[in-house]
Amino acid sequence: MKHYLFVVSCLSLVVSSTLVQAQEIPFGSYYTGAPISLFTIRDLDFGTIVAGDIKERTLGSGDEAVLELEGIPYLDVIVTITAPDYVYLDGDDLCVLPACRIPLTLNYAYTNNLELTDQIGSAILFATSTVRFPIQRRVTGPPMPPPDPFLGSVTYPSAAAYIYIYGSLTSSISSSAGDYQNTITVTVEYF
Amino acid sequence: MRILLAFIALCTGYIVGPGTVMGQPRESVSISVGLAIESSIEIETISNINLGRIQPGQGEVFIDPKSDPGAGLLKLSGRPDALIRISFAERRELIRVGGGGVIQFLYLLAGSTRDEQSTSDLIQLENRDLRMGRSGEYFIWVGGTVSLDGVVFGQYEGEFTIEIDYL
Repeated sequence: MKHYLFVVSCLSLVVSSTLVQAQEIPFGSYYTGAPISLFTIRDLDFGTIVAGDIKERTLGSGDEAVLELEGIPYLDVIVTITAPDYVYLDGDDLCVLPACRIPLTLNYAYTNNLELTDQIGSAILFATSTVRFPIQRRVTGPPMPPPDPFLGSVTYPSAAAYIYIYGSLTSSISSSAGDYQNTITVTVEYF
Repeated sequence: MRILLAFIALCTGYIVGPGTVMGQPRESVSISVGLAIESSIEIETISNINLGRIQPGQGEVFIDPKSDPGAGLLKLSGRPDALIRISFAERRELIRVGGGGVIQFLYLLAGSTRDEQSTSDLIQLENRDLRMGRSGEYFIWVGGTVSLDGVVFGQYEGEFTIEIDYL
């Protein structure tokens, strides 16, 4: 009788797992040797302001940060952005006072439709720190058949997508004069 | 018992299997976020423009900002040696107190890092990017030209607006 109870318990686990998650195949796991690259085209420089001012960098302004992502066009990538809440006077992140740190609000977007840098007309905005998208946007309709397997020495196809980071800084009247800095880390991997 | 163990293994495989794919290529980069806060620039009016007494029939009044003691004086205080940009509206209206008249004033500015009018240079379109003095001060003399043709007798007042930005 105890055996039967355990079987029922295991079945419920399997069934519940199937219900909450659609079937997905992480194709990236079959491309362990495939190249993927990410590099910075432009940092996020808010320029110079006077204490008490708000400074904004908007998408399409030419001042937002841009990263270029290159990889296999038909694979999905997971982009993870680790962003700070503040920029700190002289980069001193131990500061907790308004005089030496300024709140940072960030927004994100990407383009994956074979656009060139700064062509943001079809950019897709995302608010979360993690997003998944194909390096080259897929056409609507059923997915294309998978490509032929790569054998031996191969040259993988490559396409570029772009990640944009923009936002605003709100200084206070008590913000000390000087240079405020911090770092945003962006990680990308195939799904 | 054998059946039970096999089933446990099967369940474990289902639960742990998805999501633990190892070895995918991964790249990370860091981008910098930067902002500079400048100390604010204080603008203090030391003296207003004084046109003096105008004689009847006088067609024009000219206040030379480089030499006329009637020129207005502004004192800027900010970061020593900082590059600044000065912007101002060259032409402004002066309004007759009590109404009934408007005259156009064409402003001219001269500036120096020293509080000596004779050392000042005209601030024109091509040299509006200037540098604060070592003491963090800069002096601006405000003069200009006003045409008095057809002007109604009376007292006229107006404002001069100047904008200073750090570069």
